[in-house]
Amino acid sequence: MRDIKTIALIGQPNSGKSTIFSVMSDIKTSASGSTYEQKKSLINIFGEKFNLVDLPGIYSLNSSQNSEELTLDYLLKGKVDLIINVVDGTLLARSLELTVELLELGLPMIVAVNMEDIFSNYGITIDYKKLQEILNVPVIPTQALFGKGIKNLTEHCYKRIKGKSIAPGTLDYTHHFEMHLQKLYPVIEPLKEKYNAKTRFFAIKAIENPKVLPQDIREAVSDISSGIRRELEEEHGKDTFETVSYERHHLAMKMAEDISVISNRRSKPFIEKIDNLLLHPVFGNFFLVIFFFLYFLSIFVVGDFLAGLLESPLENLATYFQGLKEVNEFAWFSVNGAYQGLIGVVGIVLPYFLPLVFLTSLFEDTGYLSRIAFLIDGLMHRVGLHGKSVVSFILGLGCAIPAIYATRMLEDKRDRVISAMLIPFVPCSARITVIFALAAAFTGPIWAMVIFLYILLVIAIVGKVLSKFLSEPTGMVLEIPRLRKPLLKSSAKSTWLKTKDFIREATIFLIGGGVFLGWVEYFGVAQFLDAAFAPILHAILGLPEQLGSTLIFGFWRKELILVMANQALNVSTLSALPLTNAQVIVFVIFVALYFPCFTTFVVIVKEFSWKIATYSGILALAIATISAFLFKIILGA
Amino acid sequence: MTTLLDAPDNIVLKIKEIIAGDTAKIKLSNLGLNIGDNVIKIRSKKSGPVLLHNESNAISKLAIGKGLAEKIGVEEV
Repeated sequence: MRDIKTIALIGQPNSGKSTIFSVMSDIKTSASGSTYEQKKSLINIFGEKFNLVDLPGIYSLNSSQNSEELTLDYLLKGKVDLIINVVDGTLLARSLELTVELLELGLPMIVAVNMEDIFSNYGITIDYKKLQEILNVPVIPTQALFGKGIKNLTEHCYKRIKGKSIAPGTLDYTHHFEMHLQKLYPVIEPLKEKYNAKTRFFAIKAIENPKVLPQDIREAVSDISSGIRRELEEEHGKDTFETVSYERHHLAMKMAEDISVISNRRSKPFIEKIDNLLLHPVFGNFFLVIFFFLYFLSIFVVGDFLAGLLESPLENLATYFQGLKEVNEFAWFSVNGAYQGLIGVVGIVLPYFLPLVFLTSLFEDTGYLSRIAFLIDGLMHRVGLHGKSVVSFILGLGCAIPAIYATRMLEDKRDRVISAMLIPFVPCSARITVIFALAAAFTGPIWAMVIFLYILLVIAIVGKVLSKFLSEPTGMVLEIPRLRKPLLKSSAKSTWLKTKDFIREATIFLIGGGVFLGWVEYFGVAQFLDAAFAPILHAILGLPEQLGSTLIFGFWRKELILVMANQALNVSTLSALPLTNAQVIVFVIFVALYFPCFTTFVVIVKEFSWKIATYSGILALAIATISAFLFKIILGA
Repeated sequence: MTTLLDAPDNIVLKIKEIIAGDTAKIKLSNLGLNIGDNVIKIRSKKSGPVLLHNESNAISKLAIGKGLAEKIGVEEV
């Protein structure tokens, strides 16, 4: 089989890497949001196949974040034939620091200077030819969002891979530092064969930050690098990381100055004026409260409207198989189960899922999430976390899985662990659906708000308690990226892709689960499942025992609870459930908190450990029981 | 010299020293903040982080936690 060459996209977060990936791979992925996982796609250039890999965004190759470790590991050991370094032209000096590091790696490279439309709006002009001469790699201007420059970039990728191999240029550090590097080369040379990087990269890291080196090289250079580091520290009076990063910073700054011209604008762009208001201590917080209120209200109103539209046609479907009950009872239970599952997907979940995913994607693209992190930092400190964690919590409103992945952007393990333990409490789209659907059927939107506020309180208290058991956090540094206009088209595309994924995954679970519960009912197995949960649900919380079996399905997908509750209590609509308003609230509180879903559980195991995932599950079950019991007492359920 | 936390808003400040741990130094450097850079504090409030503008990356802003802002020494330019 022919060897398929691999092109890897690498750049700093929010540089537009994923948008380029999306355009080059013929839009097989969502262009919204940040990349915390590696994405792959097979692309076709001039009739030939290539692998295109989108690596998680990184600031530098001095991994201080989990996502940076993954990217560095891939660059050193993975299959890479060409890297496309996506440079954010609006942050030229900072972006070029990563470019300098990538040059040191020595892999074939192309630089894509992205966001030309935006930096030119700020009066910045870049001399691409000059940059190309300095770096000795092709430099292509792009406006990824509009697909401009991508054709040129793709053609250059082809030429670069097919043509004669040209080594990227070398940017020299001070003579003194270069002399130190020479001492390390003979030790590294025999060991570097199994890695993609050049000897120079390992030598620089051996002095700058040996922690990022592969173990064999780190051990081999240990003595020499310690000696050089000591010497440099004595000479400069500061640690070597600072000395080397200062040199690289200087190289990047000089390069940025040489290739860019900034003309004076008479006034700030309008978007900057809006940004000042959004970050304002009074107006910013006021807008934040309004934002959250409108965010949830829109989801509720749109979801309720869509659910109402679908209710009657879906109910009519049941008449088509009503007669089957007389002919073949087992078949009726199976078909009815599948029907209940279908109602779950189309009638109950989708109406709330659509506005939620659309709005989250819309605001993620604007950069407003990091403004929320800035505004809310003081509040988050009260629960022992930084404002930065709030981004993964907001993503958790869509789904806990990307939220758990997003904790990779947190540098400190303690912050990651606390966030991962708290994210399962954040109501995901599935749980929001359960809350909204039951609230709409029984108690009205006010109680939905009360439940959300209570969940916030739970997150605050649990966060505070957990942070007491872990070390102090290190200081927060958060980038507030340029505010961007919301892009309806991009958000609509992202919503469409996420909805497709959701329907594909959830339909099997919900319809399959519905059929299975139909059989459980037919064979009379439900009573055993109900009995298992009876000590909590019935004895402590005073809820009907029959709801016990629904919790098993809720472990697979939380939305299943709605369908299963209907089936378990033998009614066709939620509003017909034989529960009082108080019982519904107690049940919703329990369901909203009782356990992360199966997939979230697996992702926590994968990202952290079995121990953390198990603690998270036990903690959730205990909190859910205590919370629901409290509500039972207060409401007299 | 004063700390970034105590320095006044809306004037150009030069970063003279960063007395923080390795992780914090790497974080700052990754986001383009190094000794010798000129910055402008845009906003600081009683609680919450300091918001600043790095002149070398004029379009983006940085929020730095109060604890860390106390460890950054600056001088008015």
